[in-house]
Amino acid sequence: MLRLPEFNYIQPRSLKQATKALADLGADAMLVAGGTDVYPKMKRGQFTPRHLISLRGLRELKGIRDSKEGLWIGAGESLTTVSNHRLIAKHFPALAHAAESVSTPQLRNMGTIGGNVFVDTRCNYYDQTFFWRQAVGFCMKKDGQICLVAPGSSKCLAIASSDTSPVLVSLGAEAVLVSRQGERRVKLGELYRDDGIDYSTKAKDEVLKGLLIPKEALGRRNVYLKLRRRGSFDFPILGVAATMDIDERGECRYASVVLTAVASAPKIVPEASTLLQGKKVTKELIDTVADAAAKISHPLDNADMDYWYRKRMAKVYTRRALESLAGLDSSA
Amino acid sequence: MLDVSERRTGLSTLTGRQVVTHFDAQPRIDLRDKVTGQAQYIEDLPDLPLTAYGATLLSPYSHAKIVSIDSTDAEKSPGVLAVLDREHLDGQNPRLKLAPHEHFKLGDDQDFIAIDKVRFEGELVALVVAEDLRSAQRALEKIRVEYEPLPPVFDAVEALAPGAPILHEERGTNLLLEDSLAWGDIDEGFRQADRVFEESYTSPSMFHHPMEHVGGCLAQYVNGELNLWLPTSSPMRDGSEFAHFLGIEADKVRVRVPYVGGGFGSKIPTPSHYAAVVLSRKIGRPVRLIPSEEHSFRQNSRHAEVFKAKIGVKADGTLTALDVDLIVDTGAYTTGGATAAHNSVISAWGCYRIPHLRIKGRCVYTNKVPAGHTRATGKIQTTWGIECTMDSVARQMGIDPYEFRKKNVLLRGDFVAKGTPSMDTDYLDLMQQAVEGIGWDGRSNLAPSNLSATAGSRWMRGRGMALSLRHGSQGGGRAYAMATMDARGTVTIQHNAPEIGQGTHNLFSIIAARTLDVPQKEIRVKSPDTAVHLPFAGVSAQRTTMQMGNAVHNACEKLKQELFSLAAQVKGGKPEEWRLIQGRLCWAETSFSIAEIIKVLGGSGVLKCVGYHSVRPMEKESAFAGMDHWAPSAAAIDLEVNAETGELRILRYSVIADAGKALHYPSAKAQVDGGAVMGFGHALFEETIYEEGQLQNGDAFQYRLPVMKDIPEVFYSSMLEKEDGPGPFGSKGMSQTSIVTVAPAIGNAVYDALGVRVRSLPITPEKILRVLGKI
Repeated sequence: MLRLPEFNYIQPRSLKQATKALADLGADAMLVAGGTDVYPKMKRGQFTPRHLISLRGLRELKGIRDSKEGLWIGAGESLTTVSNHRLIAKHFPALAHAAESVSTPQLRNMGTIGGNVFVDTRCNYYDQTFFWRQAVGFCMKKDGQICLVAPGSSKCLAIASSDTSPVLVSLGAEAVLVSRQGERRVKLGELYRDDGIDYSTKAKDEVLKGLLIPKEALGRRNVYLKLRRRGSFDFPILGVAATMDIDERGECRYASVVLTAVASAPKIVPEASTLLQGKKVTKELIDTVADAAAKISHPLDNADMDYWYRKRMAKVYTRRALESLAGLDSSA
Repeated sequence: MLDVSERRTGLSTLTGRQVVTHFDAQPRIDLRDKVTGQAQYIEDLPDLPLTAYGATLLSPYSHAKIVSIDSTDAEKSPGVLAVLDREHLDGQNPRLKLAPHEHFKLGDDQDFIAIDKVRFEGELVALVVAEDLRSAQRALEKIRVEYEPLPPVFDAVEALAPGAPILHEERGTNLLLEDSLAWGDIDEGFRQADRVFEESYTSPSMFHHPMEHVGGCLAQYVNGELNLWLPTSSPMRDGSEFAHFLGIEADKVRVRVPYVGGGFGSKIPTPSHYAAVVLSRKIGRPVRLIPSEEHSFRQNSRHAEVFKAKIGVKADGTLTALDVDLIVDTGAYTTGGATAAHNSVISAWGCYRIPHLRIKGRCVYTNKVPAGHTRATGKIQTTWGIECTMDSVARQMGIDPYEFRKKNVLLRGDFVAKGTPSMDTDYLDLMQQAVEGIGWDGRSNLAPSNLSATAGSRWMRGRGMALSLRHGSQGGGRAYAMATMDARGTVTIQHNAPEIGQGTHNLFSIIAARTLDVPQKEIRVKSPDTAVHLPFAGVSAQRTTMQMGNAVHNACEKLKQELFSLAAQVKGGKPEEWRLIQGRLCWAETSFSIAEIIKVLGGSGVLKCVGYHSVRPMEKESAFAGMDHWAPSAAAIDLEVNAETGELRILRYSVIADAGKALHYPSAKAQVDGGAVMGFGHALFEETIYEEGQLQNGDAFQYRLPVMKDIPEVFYSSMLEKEDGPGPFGSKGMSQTSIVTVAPAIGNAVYDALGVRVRSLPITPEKILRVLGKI
């Protein structure tokens, strides 16, 4: 069986201790919360930290509650808790569904929302054992020089694979990051970068404390659609998160569509807001937004299902998502 | 009465059989152990004193020359006891002996450890045995192997083409063997036909993927004798193979089998088992080998196949001729190639009356993980081919596929082929129950068109069906079982038929209890142990209920006669006047406990009888090994497919097998259910993917087994029970029938919905769009 390599396990008692340890240990350390992605990747040699700093049991990372500014979700809450939470299920069914669609019940019991938001990017040439990667000569994401998907590419093309991040970005969520220097609040969408290796702009010494879904998102309709081969277990090979606000006259006040698994970062479809906001939502407009979604999707031959299929489905899923929010569902 | 099957399996939403016996209502005898974690599998067995741990180094290449192996540093690594590779064989001949085959003379082609080259990714190159697993794995990293990569070939058709890389140079070709089956006059058959059609279907290679890894064992070679704890389906056969390999007498090898965590054909001796045995002999200590997941995936696989048929039909729909060409891809070594090719050849005609037949099969080497036997060996691939062919031909003739099948299917009593029983099942009943199971009248949409999928609903409804036929309880010689009754009246059954998940031990306890009419709680069923020399070919080929069941039944009948003789001797009367009724010996108006009679034997007196079952001998010039009965199934499916995206929604599925008589209804039904669930995997997801010269999805995450959400909510499975089988109490083997019908039923339903046909497995949304011409 694959065995874990040796490492130091550090169990801080507070977030302060955690950020200090992270700052002190530098690049040799990694954070671990649920460990559902970290430990298997250590067994396969994709992650090779000397130290693991555990975020399990940190009180500061717990809690889901209503606040003046919106809904606060502690980064250490499990995906099961998020998917079952009363307020989330009521106001943000897209988030509950996205959390519930991750992997399997056992992994959702362990895995956290914070871990999922910053889950490692994925690629068929990277998510393999050391033994396998060694035989193909490794790729640039770990131990190698070139991209095996597109050998001419100067950057890594691994795929953004979080189910919850597109939903949170479409809801305009903010992330609260803590380091030894203090706390900062930033739009979650700004924390992603379209690079399979450096896919996050979160600083190496920062810990995600929690996520805030702003007040104005309450009452907006939202939905998440996920493409994968099987009914559960699989990572998304396309995810479409859509949020929409329609007034009594049927006019769209707010619209946002965010895609996952079509690039190394969640992709915002700008046409959702530019074309829909201020207008009455029609099937024709939705089709135009759906076309735009497909256009900015660049799936490659490094995940399950054919890349042309995933691109085509970006259009279909965007259309389905928007039609369902606009009440124009045509049973498709 | 309560339908226990439904309650226990939790899969069906419709009811199966209404009336149950009290045996059906009892949980399986292994259930408590398994649910509470008490059941011991190979990795749960305690270490023997001084047990050492082995770790394996596998080839990262699918095809390469081994230039050099340097294990100097590994040998010096802390805790290391020994290294095994081609340089450290200590005179052991590495060549593995293939089991003799009824129809072919096979040349041995595989070494248990790579010698000159590696022929598939995952081939065993070296092992380290150390005081603990971590030390062994650390040392493994210090072995330096220099390879010279060679071009690999992963497609059997390409492997046969001129200029293809040759795997076994001494053979000069990748063609391993050819097989054929024929009757009638094929040219005459096509002359009689009004129309002739050609159809072609392919199936990929796949993995068995049992929950328990493949390739683990605990080996103890001591004083010239081998003790082996092995998760296997056939301990008696394996024992003699290990003895032959080591050059010792068969009775010097003792194989014991703990509970086995699933097999589906994969739990056979593999090179890693032989390596563990060699290492134990080398260090004089027991060796435990626990394969990694990646190694488990690379132990064996299922054969990919190409099925090409030419079929002749009269204007009224009567079949006149069938000519099939098969290419069977066995991977890097023979392994199960002969059986897979032969089974495919003798069964590619389906279950129909075909007066003029010719089937040819070629078995071919490729650089894939070697393919062994898999649940319904050679039958999954050919059923996919012939059942889609029948549907397609019927539709092209303008005949409803259900009517076409009714017209051509073999009926009870029909002659089938030389050396086989006549048809002994009722397909018309099977088909009717299958279509009724999904609430369908069986009529297909003869003019489906995806053009109607316009702006409205893009989801198109389709229904389809498929039949299957497999030889039941084939070959294997005699099966023996022993029944012992002690002075307390407890009956012990000994046998060599492993409990591999399917419920063999429970089955034997029911057969013994019913035969003797003693309470089931008085029956003990032992685990297999070859020290008790009771030959049996193994739990495969649907032979356990039939062959071992009959052997247990026979042993218990004999035991009963012995008991009656003894009772007559002690208490009077004639043996034939005695009866056993609910555990008590009865004669005229009197009754006695069993203990009361047996204790007259004195001391540790017991009654002991060996029973057996002999399979029908193979007839001369027959392509079919002796078999006891035929094993059919029928399935129907109701689905929706999206004409825009190719997405499938399975609405209802139904499958009916012929059990003759289900001896423990929940277990039998679990076989039907489990087979169909595996079938959904084969139909929709599973295939091995080779890219960049390597196996890309040889792990539990990327190799996609179906999950519960992929199984339709409405899942109806049932069995015909006419008590007409040759097994105990009218039973038949049927565990390999439900797996094969899923894929063709889906393929036919997709056609019913859209008017296009996917001809390669798995059936994916991308392929559906491709055949729709939408890419």
